[in-house]
Order: sequence, then C-alpha cells, then structure tokens
Amino acid sequence: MLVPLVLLALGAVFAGFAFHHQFIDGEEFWAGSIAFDADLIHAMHEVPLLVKLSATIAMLAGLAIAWGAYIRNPGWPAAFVAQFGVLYRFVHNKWYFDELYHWLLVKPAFRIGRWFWKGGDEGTIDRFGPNGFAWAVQLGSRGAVRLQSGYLNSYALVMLVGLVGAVSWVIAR
Amino acid sequence: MNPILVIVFAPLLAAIVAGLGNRMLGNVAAKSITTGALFLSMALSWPIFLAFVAGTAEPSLTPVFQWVRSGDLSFDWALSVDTLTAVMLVVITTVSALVHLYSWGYMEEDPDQPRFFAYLSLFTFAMLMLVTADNLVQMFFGWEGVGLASYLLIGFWFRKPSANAAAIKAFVVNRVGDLGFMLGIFGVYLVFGTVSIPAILDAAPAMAGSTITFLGMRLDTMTILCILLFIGAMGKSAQIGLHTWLPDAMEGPTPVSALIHAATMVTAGVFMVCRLSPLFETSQAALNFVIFIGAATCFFAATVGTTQWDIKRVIAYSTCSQLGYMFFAAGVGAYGAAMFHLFTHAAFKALLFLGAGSVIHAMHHEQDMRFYGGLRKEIPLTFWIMLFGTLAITGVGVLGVFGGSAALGGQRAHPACAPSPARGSVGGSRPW
Repeated sequence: MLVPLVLLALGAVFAGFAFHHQFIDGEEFWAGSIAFDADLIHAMHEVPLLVKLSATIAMLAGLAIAWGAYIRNPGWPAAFVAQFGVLYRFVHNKWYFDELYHWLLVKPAFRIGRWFWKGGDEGTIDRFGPNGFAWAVQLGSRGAVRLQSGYLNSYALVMLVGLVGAVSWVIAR
Repeated sequence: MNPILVIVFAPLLAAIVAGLGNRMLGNVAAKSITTGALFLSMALSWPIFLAFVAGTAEPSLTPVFQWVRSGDLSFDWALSVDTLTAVMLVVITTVSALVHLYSWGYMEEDPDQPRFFAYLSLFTFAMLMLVTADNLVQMFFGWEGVGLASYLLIGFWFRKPSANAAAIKAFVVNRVGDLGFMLGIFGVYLVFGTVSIPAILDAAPAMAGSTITFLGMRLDTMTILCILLFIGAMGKSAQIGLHTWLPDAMEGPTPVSALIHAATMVTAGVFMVCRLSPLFETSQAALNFVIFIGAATCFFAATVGTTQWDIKRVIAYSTCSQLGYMFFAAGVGAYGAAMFHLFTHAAFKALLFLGAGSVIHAMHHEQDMRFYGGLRKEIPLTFWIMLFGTLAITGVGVLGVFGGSAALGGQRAHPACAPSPARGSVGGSRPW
C-alpha cells in the first residue's frame, strides 16, 4: 500500500512544477486540441501581484484559522458553533439540498408511484384482469363442484333432464 | 500493433478475464492480470504524453470498427489521440495502475477480490474510451460506461443497505445530467448534421449567432447546445444542484473514491468542456453559465466541507469544490489552466484519498475524525503523505497546484474559492 502512496506523493509534488509551463502557456503544446486565447494568457501574467498572491493569502488565512482552532485553542470551534448555531446547522446539513430534493422530488415520486401501484395496477388492472378472471373461474368451479356430487341418482336426473330437453327440441322443430 | 489499441483494450480484456474467471481464477491470478494490464497501459501511455510535451508527436486517429451507417448518420469506433487525450491518458492509466496496486493491500481481507479488480479495470476501459472518442456518441458510450462502473463500485459492498442506496442515488442523479447531454447530442446532430467532434468544432464558429426554436421560444442555438451539454458535465462532475450523489458515493471502498470520485471520472465533465471548447467559445452566455455554476459550486462545497466529520466526505466536498474551480477556469477561457488543475488535482487528490484509506485501515474502518488523534506516531509515513497532499492542494511553493491557483487567481478568482482547500483539508488533517 505504501509504494503507490509514495509514487503519488512524488507526482503531487513535482507534476505541477514539471509541466506548468506547457499547460498554461503552451499554445504549441495544445496544438489546437483546445481553444487557446493567447491574449487572455498574456493578460493573466500582467495582473497585479496582489491578485497572483490572493490564493496563497487565502491559504495562509485558512492555515491560521485551522491552527488557532485545532492546536492553539481547541475550544474555538465549539464557541463558534454556539455563537452562530443557525449558520453552522445550515452548513453542516449541506445547505439542506438533500432535504429539499426529498421533499420536492422523492416524496412526490413515491406518491405518484404509490397511486399507480395501488390505484392503477392493483385497483384497476389486477382487479378486472387476472384477479377478475380468477374470481370468475373460482365461482364457476364452485358451481361445478356442486354439480359433481358423486351421487348416481343426481347424475341420472341430469341425464333425464338433458334427454327431455333434447327430445322436446327435436319435436318442437 | 498500434499502442493506443493496447492501452484501451488491455484493461477491458483483463476485466473480462478476471470478472468471468472470478473464483475459478483465484485472488492472486485475477489481481495480477488486472494490475499487470494497467501497468502495461501506463507504460505505453507515458511515451505518448512525453512525445507531445517534446512536440514530436502528431495527432492520430486509429479506426477500430464500423459502428453506425444509417442514412445521413454515420460514425465509427475510433481512437483519437491528440494533446488533450494524451494528458488524460497518463492521468487515467497512472492513477488507475497505482490504485490497483494499492488495492492489493487495502482489499486483502475482502472475499470478493476478483470482482472488485474486474470492476476497476472495466472502469478504466470505459474512461479511456471516453477520452479517446472522436465522436459524441462514442464519448457518450464511455460516459455511461464509467457511470455503470461507478454504480457497481459504490454498491460493491451490496449487503450494506446504505451502499445500495448511495449507488442508486449516484445512478439516478447522473441520469438527470445525462438527459441534458443526450439532448445536447441530438441538438448538435440536428444543427450540424454530424456527431464527429472535429467536424462540429470546425463548423461551430459559423453557427455563432444563429437562433433555434426551443421549448416554444426563439433562442440562440449555440447557447442552448452548450448549456445542454454542460448539464451533462454538471451531473458527472457533481456541480451544484447535481452534486448530491458525490458525498454519498463515499460508501464505496476507498481506492474507488480515489480513482473514480477524485482523480478521473468526476473530471470527465471538465474534459468534455475542454474538448468542446471551440463550441463553448461561440457563446458568451453559455460560458457565463459555466463560470457561475463553477464559482457557486466552489463556494458551496467549500463551506460544507469545513463542517463534516467523516474524513472521506471532507475530501469529497473538497473534490467538488476543486471541480468548480476547474469549470471556473474553463468558463473564463483558460482551458489550459483548467486542464493543468485537473492534472495536478488527480495526483494530489488521489494521494489524499489513498492516505485517508491508509488512516481508515489503521483505525479499523473508523471514519469519524472526531475519534482520531495522535496518529502521527502510529503511522508516520501516512502523516507525511497527507501533509504533502495538503501542501500540494493549498498551493505551497513549487508544489502541484501553485501554477494552477496562481493562474486562476490571475483570472479574477472568486475570493471564496481559495480558502476552501485550505480550510477543508487543513481542518481535515488536524488529527495527524
């Protein structure tokens, strides 16, 4: 695990230094593979020193705050949180993006899904489709079970009724 | 055989062998094949990059297969290599090879190692397809491929409900961005009649100022196309509004976070904007939109990063913020500076993630920084590594980001952006 770490550390330290010139100023290096505005890059080198140092200044300010808050006086962060509780909660909860999306998108999506599932699928398609057929088949088979009683006399009755029916149809025709 | 074919397809082959062989093949064989393939790709990528640095290389196009011939629409699988691609090739193959190697140790106790390494290699293949694309559809193929690999790897520990939820969230949020990207591709085909990137970039300046009907309104064609394409980039690169998946993606194993969610996949959006930079240059409104989103993300993610407790989430928000920084640079027209920041960021952010992985490993998978302390004496090398990473990200002296930060500072940088890495990661490195 340590070999890749050391190699990447070397990369992190030297990559910027080694290729800085080609990437920033290298119109020939990019050779038209990206849009290159030479005037812009030239203007970039001409900005006041304070602008160039702004990133470093901000970094040092961050370093001073971190050193103050975590090494010199570890009570700082807690005091800050107590003082600016609302701000802290807003930031700690990631600006409430997840909550907003949950309320705005996830819950309505679930509600629509539930409506289609319960009302559309189960309440309409299943009810009149598969479940309806199953219900009709069940009802029919219950009637059939009642007919198939196993008693010879009831079968004889059915045959007799059938015969009477057939004969009367033939005569009536 | 052309080296670019080996660079791109060796990881795919390794992924197929390791993925299908799985337990039959055993851990050591699967790991050796995938890692070996990646080191081969890396070894072949560096000469290409160095040749471009030396100025001796010419852009090339290597056809692979015929893909689609349908009426007026025709495009092929082809691998295009120019300076921009060469930069991405070394970033991807180097970080991926090192992450493969790192995972030997980090995933040692995992029962599913061949599957893990197969996914990593599959991801690398998709990412390489993305950066070598010479038409938008192939880029979209790579785009979706990395999305799939990211989904599989975030949900690698699929017995953990939170990992599944995070994987689905990443996939769904990315779909939103991808819809924008798809509409952008359709729109480009509608306007230019082709999806070939060089042809589009050649034709773009002539289209500047033309209008098109969109959603019932008459709008500037190039602005619409660029903003739609940029929405795709916003999803992949976790820009504000579509960023919510990135912190949750930290549910995946740490090497995955280093490779996919710091160094390579999330920078695909920046790569896309740089690749299509002549297109974006035709619409100042679209560039203003890129600047605004980049700066807003930079500020937003930096503030959130300062108050998180989970070590990986702090680094994730820092990544999000840095990506905003890159878009900001691209928006003002300094695409070279954006790519420079992408290049150095890949090195030091992968380093910070792998360092965090080493800490998490040493702390028996405790990720809450409030329980850390005094680790400098226990894992001294990791301490120094993290310190180097932090110095690089904050732009000290000759270290990585200096040129990038200074260059960006040179372009009216957003004042709130710079403290972000500083406070985020110095706060993060407090325990060591």
